[in-house]
Amino acid sequence: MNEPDYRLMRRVALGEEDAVVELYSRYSSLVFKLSLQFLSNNAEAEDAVQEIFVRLWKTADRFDPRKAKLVTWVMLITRRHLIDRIRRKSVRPKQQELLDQHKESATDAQPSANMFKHERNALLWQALQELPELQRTVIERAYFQGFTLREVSRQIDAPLGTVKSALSRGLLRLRERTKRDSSPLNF
Amino acid sequence: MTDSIKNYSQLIELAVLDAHGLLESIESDLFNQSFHDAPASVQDEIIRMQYEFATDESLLPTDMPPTELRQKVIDAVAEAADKEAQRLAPLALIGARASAALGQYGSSSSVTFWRTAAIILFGISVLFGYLTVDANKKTSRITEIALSNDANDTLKDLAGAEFKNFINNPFCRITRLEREHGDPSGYIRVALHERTGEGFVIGIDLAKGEEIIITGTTTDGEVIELAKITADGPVAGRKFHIDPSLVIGLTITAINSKTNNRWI
Repeated sequence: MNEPDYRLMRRVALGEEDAVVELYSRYSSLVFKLSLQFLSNNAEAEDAVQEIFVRLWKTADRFDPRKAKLVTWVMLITRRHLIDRIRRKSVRPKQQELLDQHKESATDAQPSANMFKHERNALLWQALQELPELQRTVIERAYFQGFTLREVSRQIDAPLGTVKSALSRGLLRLRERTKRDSSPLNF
Repeated sequence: MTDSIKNYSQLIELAVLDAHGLLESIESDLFNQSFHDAPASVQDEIIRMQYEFATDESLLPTDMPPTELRQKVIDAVAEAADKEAQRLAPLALIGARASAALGQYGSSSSVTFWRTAAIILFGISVLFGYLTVDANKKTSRITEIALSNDANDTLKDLAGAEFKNFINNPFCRITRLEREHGDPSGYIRVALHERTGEGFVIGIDLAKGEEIIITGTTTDGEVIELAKITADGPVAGRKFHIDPSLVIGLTITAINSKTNNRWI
């Protein structure tokens, strides 16, 4: 039987190596795959995974099992770290490029970030294309290009509330789509 | 649309963004507060939805991490832990030097005290995590506290094996409080055992004579006084006890009894 999550994280907070090993064995696959989706190559993803587990160690005492499952907490820290990392890289598209891209996307659905060019992200790319334009744009910019919601709001000249709603709806639709695709009725 | 439905929709919207790490810190705090105030059924729905987002691999690459990454991760965490320990190491050294230098405290009990003080402060630092901001300044301040004779009796009263066992207990929940406005100095940490209702509050580097009342707000909105501490020295603290049935969902804050300035 697995050690309870809160006890494991308590031991991770204390820096016990076997607890870190257990945490890694449970979640390294998910963390690595998400890192690979965000970053351009395996080497970067591997660096990110190391940093993420250090961050998990540093924040372990903040895990509250009444508010979230441990895997939710781990993936939240992972996503925050990856978004921070993209922001630090400062290779985000300039405003004019984004405006051009925004115009193009209405007629010519081209991938807007390097990540979508990788074959391994083909499914994600395909799923995004099925979203309404606004939802696709805000997901690409806020989630995969690391812009803050306020920045996205300014870029597309839309109220912050609209950006939040579009982002939330888009992410829910992506989730619904994957549920639909994995349904046993969908053969 | 009723207010409750509107609030529900907004909460779900925030929950989706939170699960994807897209909320700014202030929005994240607001979400956490709204989550805390939501009915249990809505909380369960959010927990389930965020779990589904976290575990959905359908759009992720299928690549697996290379086997050598495991050791790299272990080494990276060990290195980070070593750096943290090195940053705090002067405490132990100072403790040993101080006991050797101060002839009147040359007995074995004095050595034990300084070692204990260093371990306690180290433990507080790591477990309460109060060295996360402006670490150098705070480390030197703690060093001063460790060297202070005034801290001696207080630490003896507050700490010891009982304290260490208490904070190491997996049911012990630690709340970090910072001043809401103004002077960033001083730390208050509250440890509360979720099963027994036993609590322990410690204030470090508070203003001389500062009187702080620790309060808890129950899930029903009732505000109860948990403890009161007065800063007669660099370290102040006391134990307290509350009804264990009130612990779950309890929001802990503090207030300066004279100025009404809050700690949150």
